[in-house]
Amino acid sequence: MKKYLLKRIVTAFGIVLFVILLNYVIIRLAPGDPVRIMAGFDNPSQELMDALTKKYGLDQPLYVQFWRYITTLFKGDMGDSYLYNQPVSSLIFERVGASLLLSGVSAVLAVLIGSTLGLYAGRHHGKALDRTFSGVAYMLNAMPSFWLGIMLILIFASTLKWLPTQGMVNIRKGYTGWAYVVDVLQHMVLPCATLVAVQIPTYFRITKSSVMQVMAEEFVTTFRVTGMSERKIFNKYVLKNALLPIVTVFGINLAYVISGSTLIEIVFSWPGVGVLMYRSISMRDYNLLMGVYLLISISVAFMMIVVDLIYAWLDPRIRYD
Amino acid sequence: MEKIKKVGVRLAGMVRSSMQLRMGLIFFALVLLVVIFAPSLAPFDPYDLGDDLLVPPGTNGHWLGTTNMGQDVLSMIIYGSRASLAIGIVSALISGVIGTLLGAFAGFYGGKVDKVVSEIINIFLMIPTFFLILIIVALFGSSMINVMLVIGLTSWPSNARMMRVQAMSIKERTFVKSAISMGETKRQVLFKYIIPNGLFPIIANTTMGVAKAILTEASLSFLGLGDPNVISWGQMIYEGKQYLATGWWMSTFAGLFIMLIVMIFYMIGDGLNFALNPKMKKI
Amino acid sequence: MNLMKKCLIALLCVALMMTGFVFGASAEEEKTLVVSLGADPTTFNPVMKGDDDGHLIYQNVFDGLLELNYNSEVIPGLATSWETSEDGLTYTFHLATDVKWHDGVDFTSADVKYTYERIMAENGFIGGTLSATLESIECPDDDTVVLNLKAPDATLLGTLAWYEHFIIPKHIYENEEDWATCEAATSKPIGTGPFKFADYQTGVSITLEKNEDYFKGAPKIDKLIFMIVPDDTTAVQAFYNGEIDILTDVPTSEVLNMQNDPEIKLGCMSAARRYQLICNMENETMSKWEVRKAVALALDREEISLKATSGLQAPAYGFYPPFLDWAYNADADIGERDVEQAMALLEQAGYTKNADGYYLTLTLDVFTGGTYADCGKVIQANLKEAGIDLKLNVMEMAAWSEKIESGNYELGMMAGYQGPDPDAMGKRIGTDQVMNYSNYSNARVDELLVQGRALVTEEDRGACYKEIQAILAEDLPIIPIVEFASYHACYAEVYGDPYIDQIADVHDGCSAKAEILE
Repeated sequence: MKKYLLKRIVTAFGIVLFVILLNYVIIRLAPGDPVRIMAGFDNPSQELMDALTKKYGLDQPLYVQFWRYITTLFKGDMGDSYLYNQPVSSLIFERVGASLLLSGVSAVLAVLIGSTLGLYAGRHHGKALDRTFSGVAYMLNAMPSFWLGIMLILIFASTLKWLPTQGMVNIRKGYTGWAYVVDVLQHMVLPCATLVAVQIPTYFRITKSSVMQVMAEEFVTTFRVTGMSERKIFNKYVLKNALLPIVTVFGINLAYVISGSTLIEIVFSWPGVGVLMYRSISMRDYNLLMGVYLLISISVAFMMIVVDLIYAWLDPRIRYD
Repeated sequence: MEKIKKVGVRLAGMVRSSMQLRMGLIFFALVLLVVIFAPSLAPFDPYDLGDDLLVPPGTNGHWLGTTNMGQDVLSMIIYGSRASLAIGIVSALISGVIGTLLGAFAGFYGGKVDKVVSEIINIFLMIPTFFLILIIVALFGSSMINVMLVIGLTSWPSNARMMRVQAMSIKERTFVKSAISMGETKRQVLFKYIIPNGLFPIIANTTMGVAKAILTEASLSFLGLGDPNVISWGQMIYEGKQYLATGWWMSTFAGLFIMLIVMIFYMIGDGLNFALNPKMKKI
Repeated sequence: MNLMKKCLIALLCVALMMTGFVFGASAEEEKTLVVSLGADPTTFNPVMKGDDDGHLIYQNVFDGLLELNYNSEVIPGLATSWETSEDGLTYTFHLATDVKWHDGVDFTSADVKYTYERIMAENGFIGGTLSATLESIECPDDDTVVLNLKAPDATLLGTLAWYEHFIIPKHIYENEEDWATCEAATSKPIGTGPFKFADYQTGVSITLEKNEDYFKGAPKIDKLIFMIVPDDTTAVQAFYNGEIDILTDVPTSEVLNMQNDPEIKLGCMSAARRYQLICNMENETMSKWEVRKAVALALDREEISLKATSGLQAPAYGFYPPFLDWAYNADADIGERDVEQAMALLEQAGYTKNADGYYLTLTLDVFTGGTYADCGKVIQANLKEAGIDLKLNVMEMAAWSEKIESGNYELGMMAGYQGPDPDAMGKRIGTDQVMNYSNYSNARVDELLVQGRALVTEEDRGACYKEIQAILAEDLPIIPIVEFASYHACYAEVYGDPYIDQIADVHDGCSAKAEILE
């Protein structure tokens, strides 16, 4: 077990390194020059551009720049953002809380609601409620998330005026304490509902199909024949088997919690990492983009290991070699 | 010939067994008809800038209204089906082919080959795909070809993983063993027995992949990263987004059709999965 | 199941809290104005680099020696009056007295000298222009600054008034070795402007508070908040829902909607900017005069304006934005649309129609945003009638600029600021100038640009620029399309956006005179 874990961590480390390299190459091969953007498009001055190029070492050969990036990275420094002249780590740190809050809460709600509905639908396959749930799941699954978000804004913010349109806080009021918490929660309702709605179908489908699969297993039939109660069969065997795929999907979703959801954050002006990354792409802020991507890769690698461990704990049959 | 007939019989069986699959295929056939006969179905040239600017549905023969630039929305929807479908299918095919070949190769040969390929699959499974797609398309341009390639090249690992498992189990079956003992080369066995027999789950997964690719294209378009030179449904949503208050018809219909086509592919994929799973039939 | 129950209870609690909140809304009366902002400013050092998002903040926190108003006219800033010597080599500025920095320190002429010298030393945004022009800066007393020039330069006042031209506090920046990463540049800017910097939450908002001691009079509102909303559809909804008071950069689609709403006021920022085609003179096809002329003749600017911009961006006539009467040549234009003549010219240049009915294929590169792509689509339709197959290629800004600068293109489209002085046109058409993406070179034009800079009276200078426009109308390195237009919107009870209320004595983007009418 320990050996397996160690091996996984080493591989994960390698993968993260590979991802950094891949990303670095892709970003730097792309057209677009951050210096040009920094200098502004109206009447830029050549002297300013030369000075900026030199300042950020962009005149060096690519491999020199990469080596410098990697070495500083190992010292725990992700470099400075060209755009904001601030350390990448502090820029990300300022934003990560908002992303964690929105995506984290949504992920948890989605797994709870989705799998509960899935369990019900799987158990009562073919009944009216199952059909309704399945139909709704199909539609939600097919709906582009940003589209749903815009629709929710139009309905609940613009027409009904129940909830705020965008942002995380009411900046006009500047609440503190308890009122602040309530304010944030209010702003969270719509983006959260969007994220939950688009994530529910995944949980619903996997839960439902795994329940149905297990129910069709021979051992379940045997238990039934021996007179074990439906409820006991369900709680003891069906539920446990359905948990495995749910954990996998949930784990992967959690891995992306840290980076937020770019599309939803943009639609709702949620001040998270996703928006930051999107801007860093269009402004060619290499260091910032690398920083965000690195963070995502690490969290994905980390969560994959965690998922494996939970898997092992849930299902002792899995062998490690 | 014999083989094709057998596959056909199996498919027909599946279609009979799954209502979802049947419905999905019927709708898909309808969409295909629209795609093929787009020029004769569309009442206007979708690239033509008419003089009716942003008129609501039903005006002057514009059943679904016009855009701010006077393009006929219905004609754009009809032509847009080509781009959206092409992006979905081509990228899913790229991912299906790469996934099948790599997976079958690893599963069939086993040993060191398997280890290396599995590790590659693991690496790609761990790459945050949407962000990678976003970065590549944003940085290298959003032509339709780029979008297709990027989606295809980043979504194959799930297919590969599936095919690998299939290959590992099929190679233990008697007919494969006897083929090997009859002296057929490994390559022949791989392409004649392993891949054809393990392909069905991949087909189901690839069908789902089409749906996902169409949604990804729509998301990219939303961020302004669609191919602006081609009329696609995603692009229509993006261009109509500004006009939600003044001309809801510009993007609403495109959004509905995206939902529809995605649902069709999910239905086919689900239906295939259902029909493929013998245990499910008992329920 | 237990877990489910707990979750349900938690959800109920949340719901209860929210209803409680709605009914118990607190009321504290502070006059606050919320302005939309598309993205976080990249720096609060207002002279380092060009930053459109930061600019709105700088305009409210800092002052320049001179300012531009909404119509691109030079107005007094920290300098209340100024005079020029006979030979045009010495500019003397008299500064406002009793000006204090936000931290209470007195503002003096030393700050001005320090600012310009630091800008030149660090290659700040206007550093290049200043270095090329200034010989020396003198401070005879605390309220006077004298600029000595190397050669007469009629454009100097415009440079000092235009963009990222603000005066920064010497007592703070002289202790900072790195003017980009110091606290004043990243989180605590100190200026002399009508608003003090109060709070910044990245990605959320920037809060400014009124400066009671502002030398032009304290603002009437207490707080000016810039709310960061990246998506413009969302920003529009937030404006309609009352979360934003002043919406900057209203999408074209919504302008039409708002024009019909008596509750909403609109203002347009347009002066000195316009959309124009740029022809790559070093490209083999585009180097042919006949091709450029044919493109120009095939354009229907009225149709472009109507279909691509809903008529909000007027057709652009002539070769310089018409905001300065003395410099604009109304006679120099590409003339009426004439498809027949366009085709005749193409045939004259040796082109013949292919099977599809096209003489030749051209590619037009535009970048995303604005109405560039839509204009391109109409141009595509226009040129089709003249037998030119135009391919439209839309790219993201950064990639576009790299492609255009590398000279690997045929036709491009761009806008950008060409003021406040007509000399700015030189950057786009002068030989080897920094924005001369057409790679145009005409000895007479270069000569006229130098003359125009050295002459003093508007009449003499105007003659130079008018002749340049006549030459451009003949050579066609650029082709005018439509005027630029960027709209601001606010509700009727809000007063004080310089564009919306056309306030001539406030610098553009500054809310010094804003108030909320009862």
